[in-house]
Amino acid sequence: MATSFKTFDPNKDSVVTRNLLHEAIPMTGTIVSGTYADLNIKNYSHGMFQSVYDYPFLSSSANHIFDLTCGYPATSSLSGASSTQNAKKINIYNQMAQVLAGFDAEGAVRRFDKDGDLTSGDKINEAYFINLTRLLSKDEVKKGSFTLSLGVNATYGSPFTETINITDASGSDGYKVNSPAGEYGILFANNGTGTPMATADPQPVGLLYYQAGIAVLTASVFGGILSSSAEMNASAETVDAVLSGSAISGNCDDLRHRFLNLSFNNSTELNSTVYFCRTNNTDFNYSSNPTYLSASKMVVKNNSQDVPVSYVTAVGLYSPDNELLAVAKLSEPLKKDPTTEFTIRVRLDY
Amino acid sequence: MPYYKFKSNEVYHNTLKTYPSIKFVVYSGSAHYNDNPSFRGSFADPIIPQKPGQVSLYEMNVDRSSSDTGRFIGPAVLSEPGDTPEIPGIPDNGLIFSFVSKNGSRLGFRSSATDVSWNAALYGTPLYGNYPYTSSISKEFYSPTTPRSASNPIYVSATNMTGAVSHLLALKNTINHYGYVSPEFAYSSSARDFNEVEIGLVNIPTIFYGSSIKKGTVDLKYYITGTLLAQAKDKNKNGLLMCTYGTSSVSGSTVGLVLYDEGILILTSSMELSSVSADAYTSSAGLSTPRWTYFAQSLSGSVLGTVGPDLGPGPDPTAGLITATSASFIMEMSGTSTTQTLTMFANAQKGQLNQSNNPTFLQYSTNNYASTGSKAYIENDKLQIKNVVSSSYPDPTGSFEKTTYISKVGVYDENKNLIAIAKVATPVKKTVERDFTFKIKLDI
Repeated sequence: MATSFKTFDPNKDSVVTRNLLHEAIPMTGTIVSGTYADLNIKNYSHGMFQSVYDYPFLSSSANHIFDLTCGYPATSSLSGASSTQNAKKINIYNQMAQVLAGFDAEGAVRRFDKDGDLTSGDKINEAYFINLTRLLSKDEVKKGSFTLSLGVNATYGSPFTETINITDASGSDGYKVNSPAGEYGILFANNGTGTPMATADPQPVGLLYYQAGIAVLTASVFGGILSSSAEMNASAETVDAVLSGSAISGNCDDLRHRFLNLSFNNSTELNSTVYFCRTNNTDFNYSSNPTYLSASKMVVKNNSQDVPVSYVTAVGLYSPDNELLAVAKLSEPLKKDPTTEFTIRVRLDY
Repeated sequence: MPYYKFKSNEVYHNTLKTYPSIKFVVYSGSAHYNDNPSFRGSFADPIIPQKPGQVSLYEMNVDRSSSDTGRFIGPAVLSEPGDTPEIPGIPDNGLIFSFVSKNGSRLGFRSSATDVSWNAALYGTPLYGNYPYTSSISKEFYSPTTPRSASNPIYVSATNMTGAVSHLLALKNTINHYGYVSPEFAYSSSARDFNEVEIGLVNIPTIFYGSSIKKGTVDLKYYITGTLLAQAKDKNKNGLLMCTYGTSSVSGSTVGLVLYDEGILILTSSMELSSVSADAYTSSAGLSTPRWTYFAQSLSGSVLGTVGPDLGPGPDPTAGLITATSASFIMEMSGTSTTQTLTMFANAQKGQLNQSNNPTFLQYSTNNYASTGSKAYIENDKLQIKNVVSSSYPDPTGSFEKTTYISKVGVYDENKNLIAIAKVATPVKKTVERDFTFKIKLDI
């Protein structure tokens, strides 16, 4: 047991570090769009969003992977008394907008901005929301890693004949910070299979909030940006017709029908303090371990001329009033004598 | 709304101790935990990539199989343009997996990175880990000649493995520590030396049993072709496994030790349990008759050899897969799980809590608005309380009595922040003459 202490110099002997642990999260669209015959899709009686699991949710093995919902503001052209679940769609949009985009100087809820410049530019009025679960997004979605592939072929029955890839490719160095929910990047759409987009790609089609783990997708990915609008259901309705005429759960079903792939990397912050425990040549060459002595002689010394030797097996970290707070064990004992010096690096994760 | 401060005798911290039962069936190289079945998924069989006797610590890849999609998650190349060699991006193989980028923090994954591969990787290179992380029981068989330590070299290589000891020898101090329980807890004595006798070591990870195996609950059954051959229990609750059923030469004797806190069974009896029923326990080439040291032997990799993983002796690949197809084993016990609970007694005294701010507490026709003017703010001081006292007739009601219905109890911190709400199943009728105590229990 240690009977002598060395005091840390906080400026030189310890450093606080932050490392990122990542996970690669691929999600094939078949899970979302039909492998389990929608047994992995949970709709609620309130009808305001739909939950997607990676396995039929009645199984204890299932993981909740994301929620889907959609909405528009009261100023949207789709808003009207005849629209299905009109109030709920407005409430959903306003709720998401006030959390993610905040309020303006007059206290009004800001609408989502296509390019993140709140002072001017186009707004996202009709939007789909993909809320990734904390299980998958962890501390945040890794910037520049998000890819969502959607089938945008005009025919409802063969959605993946033409696809677009939606990425936050610019997110790694071009993200925005003017949101109360943290950092966000602009989602851009590129042609995937075929050239379904009406104009040259890439086109801004949404926002990805990294810490919140929420993707906001403009409904025009199935309409305005395409050469031919996609049929969103078997009745060949356009996205605007479905957004106004179908319930939120129906809109979510239609979005899932065109879900090809989703993948991103997540990040978890590992905060650490590294303590550099320095043993100089004259330090810790003696042990108070009972086995160190035998018949009042050091067992590791054969004659009086031998240098003292000890074996370091653990490092104790003590509080200023000498209370033992933590013990770091070495994988194998380190031989210590006056001819050697060590710096033992102790990392404490929290 | 009134607040009442909990008195010292109205708040208790308790520890709830539970004893979940554990059962392992070992047969033909596999362990099955608590009779859990294995399900086939649409894409993977089983749906969770783990063996039946394992507990998955990280069930992320549910019904997923690995396949090369040719895609990358994020950029296809992680290095800067023109840098050589090029660092490829994160592959999309259909599975969720973890990774860190190599940097100066020296972080890596034990499952994949070695010193050599870590040092060789360029900074910025992803270092990969794999899911799931599983835990399972294991069995080690030590014959009298199996080396216990490096002094009797067990794994010699160019790296620094010479200091390694076997798991059995690593338990020496622990075994000796329990010497106060019974003289049987001695690693080495005049009667027996664990370095020189046959030992079967069954390791049960703590995730299965919690803080400790409950004393007196260990029950081992040894079956041959489905017929019970022998049974051992720690019936005296002292860590000694007594053979309670079996051949007369063994029955009633101590056949092993249990380290309750450590989750270790040490089987010491090498006496023959049957002169027939020989099976391939220690070698696929030779047959042996049943004995307690062979308990759970059919777990694959149970025979230790002279080569193995980095630390300690490992399975002997030359012994082949030891399955002992005629033998099956059942191991049952109870673990110990503790849950801290907070119990609070919220008292509703007589004569108190007889007023509600709920609008329905007043007569429907009561006008409760306040009149304001340039010189006064006047509230209606004649608010009529709804009389809910029942009588035999719908109207008039019974004699008026102040009555409230308690539907929930709020728990506040010292700054009057609401931190918890306890709801009763049905509202409790509170009159002036009645008092109640609500017992609120919170697992923490």
